[in-house]
Amino acid sequence: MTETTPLLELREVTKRFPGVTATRKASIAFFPGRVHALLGENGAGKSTIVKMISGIYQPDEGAIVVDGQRVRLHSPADAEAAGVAVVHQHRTLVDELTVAENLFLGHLGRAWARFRRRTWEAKARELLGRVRLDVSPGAFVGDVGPAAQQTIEIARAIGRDARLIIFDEPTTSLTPPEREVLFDLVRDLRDQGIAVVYISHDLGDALALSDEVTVLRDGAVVAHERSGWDVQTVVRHMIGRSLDSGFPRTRRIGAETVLDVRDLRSPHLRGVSVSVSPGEIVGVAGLVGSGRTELLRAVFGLDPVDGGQILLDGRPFRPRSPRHSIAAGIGFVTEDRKGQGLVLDLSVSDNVVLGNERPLASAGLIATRRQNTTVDATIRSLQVKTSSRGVPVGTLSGGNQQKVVLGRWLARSTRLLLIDEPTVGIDVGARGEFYKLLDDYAAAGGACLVVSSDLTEILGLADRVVVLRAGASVAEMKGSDMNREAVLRAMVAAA
Amino acid sequence: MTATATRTSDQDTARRSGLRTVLSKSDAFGGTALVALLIIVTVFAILEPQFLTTSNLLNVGRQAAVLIIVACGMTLVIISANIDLSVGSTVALCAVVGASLSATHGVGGVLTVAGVVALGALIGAVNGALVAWAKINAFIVTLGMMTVVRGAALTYTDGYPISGVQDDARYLGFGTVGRIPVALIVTAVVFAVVAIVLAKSVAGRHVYAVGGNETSSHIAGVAVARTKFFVFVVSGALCGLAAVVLLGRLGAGLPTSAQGLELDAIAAVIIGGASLFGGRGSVFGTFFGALILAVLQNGLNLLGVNSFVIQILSGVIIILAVLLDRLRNRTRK
Repeated sequence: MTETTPLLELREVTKRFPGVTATRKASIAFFPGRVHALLGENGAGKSTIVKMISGIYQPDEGAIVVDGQRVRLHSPADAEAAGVAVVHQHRTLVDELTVAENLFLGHLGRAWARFRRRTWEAKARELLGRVRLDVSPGAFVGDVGPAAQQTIEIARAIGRDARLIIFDEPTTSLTPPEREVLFDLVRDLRDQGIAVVYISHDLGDALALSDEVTVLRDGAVVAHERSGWDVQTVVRHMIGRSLDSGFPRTRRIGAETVLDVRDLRSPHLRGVSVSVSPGEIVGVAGLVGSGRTELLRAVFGLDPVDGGQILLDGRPFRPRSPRHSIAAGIGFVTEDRKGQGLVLDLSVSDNVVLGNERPLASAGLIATRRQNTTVDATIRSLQVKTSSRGVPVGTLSGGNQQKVVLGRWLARSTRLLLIDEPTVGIDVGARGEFYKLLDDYAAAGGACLVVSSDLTEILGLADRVVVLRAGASVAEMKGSDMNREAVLRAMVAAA
Repeated sequence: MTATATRTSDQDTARRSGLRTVLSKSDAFGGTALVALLIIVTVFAILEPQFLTTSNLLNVGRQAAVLIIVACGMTLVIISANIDLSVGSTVALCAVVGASLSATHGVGGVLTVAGVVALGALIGAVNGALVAWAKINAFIVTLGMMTVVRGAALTYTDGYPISGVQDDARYLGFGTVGRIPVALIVTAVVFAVVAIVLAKSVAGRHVYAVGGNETSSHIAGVAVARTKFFVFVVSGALCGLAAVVLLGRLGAGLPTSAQGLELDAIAAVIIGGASLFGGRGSVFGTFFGALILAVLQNGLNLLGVNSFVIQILSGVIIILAVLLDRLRNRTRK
């Protein structure tokens, strides 16, 4: 295989969203017959790049070059015509249709015109043969397992003459033997001259499978190598900063306990124990599905609790609803700022006081001046960057939106803050500011329980880390015991 | 290089938010609907000299009063991302019960009015409880209630009108202060109160918040269920008040009256710039929207246009209004 011309190339591609630059001047070349791993933390720009290659987003600057020619991919159909196919993290098959129908879905007209039903199924059988999948073309997709469904998606991509196939987190729903089958298939595709883009959080798999590796950080390409990397080198490139930079620590941990959760059980939790003191930031680590968010939701009264105990200031507390928890001095900064934090159509000002208008009102009518005073104080102390307090909060950048959510809780004298993924979708510069605000809050005696998938963040931010696995707290560490390896080991350990 | 890039994107955001603010400000007071209303009024004034006379305009107002009162309640319901299809039937049931109280049972005017408004509020409370606490979709609840209540009105009267309503009970719909019909004063008061509730009150703020994002509001500590209950009770009570006005004007309670009123009320709210998905809308817009429908009806009548054709034009106006809203949203993005 010659390597003079890449099949598809990104040249200095930049893509901006309001408040965030998702990729900046990223240049990557994908060659036929090679597996190219795209690695990076959440928000590093991987999915933006996938969406630009597959015609969902268009770059603001820079060019996409296919077979040496500049192209504009205005839609997924354009990308498909250029030979790009994506095997998604989330399945895109229709359960109620047969395997053969799914294979030609979106191309049925063409398929019907060209083939009689029998030739059509023969064509399907041939495609299934190429991915070595033994299912009948007439079987319903809903009846075959997840691994087979994924393979059908791959067969569909091949059926559309794809020359570049993107695998976006393909192993998340597969068992170890199924993974091996998938890896063999990826190598097959490579040997047939297809360019493969492989995205995975599992660095070990990605490195073993790939012929070259590109690491992204904050939207930029920070490293590119043909081979010979180990996981540690990649991780260093992915993180790119030393562990304790940007995490101020002016707080003093109090002796008493604000929140004491003992053996908490719910439909999602199988025994979680964790405590938080005033002035303390406690981190909660765990894989997706380990019950991290569910723990916060249970304490905040959003999910029902089956058993165990929650003590607030040493007294038993049974959260009934968010209003009940808020009255007890608890606040919740959710992971999904836009869906579960803010009301985007309302102004910055109205969002800051949302749910807390009573103290500003007399006889049910809100005193505008009193609201303005409260809001201006919040904007000033958190340094929210907004052209005025009256603009819709949706126009602010992610970091400033997050400050508005935080400001809402600080304005109502919250003693315990539950924070889920504090900096998801926020630019690196703004993250440091947010960390400082949390430290300030703790320094003033506030207690924080922080969930994060970003280990760097959690190790830098927290005084103590509790690790959840499969709905139970399995380890707690602090000081010098609290390091990346120990936390990771506790997160994934089999026993 | 990076710094320049960031700055331009900031400027873009600022410019866009400026445009957005202007649009949403004009929107907040039903700017678009007002402009459309003025155009329609101008056209009729030119085409038909009868149109701009005081007596005709008072007539329009009297005709529009019931719609405006009901649409004010509907505005709250729609901003909260709900819908109330039962308003027409509720007005009819309230009207026949009011007529029966006054004409058959000899109840005094004040008590009749109070009873009718209370009945409307009660129907609204049932709607509200089913939506807020039983968490049944508002479309389903009020669709059912629409049929139930209409059936109740027909059953109660055996399908016949109840006439002979006494003058004291007719005052709000039929009386005048000088030349001004009392119905218009009632309408103005309702409009002002709802406007203040939406703009200034905690309850009004929560109506916008719940309609804009129910989950965010719930987590922020807004009493979401109570807010939903509130909008349906207000809508029901205003139906009761509208029934009093209707009763006064007609002097009788008709079990078949106010059919299709729910559609006119929804149309007025949407023409006024509210979003059916909730979170946006204003009672000013609704007011202009209702007047557009009323003026159109009246002006075309004066011009001698066939009433079937008027129906077609009203429908076109509704679709145009939503189209305009779509365009407005596109500029927002």
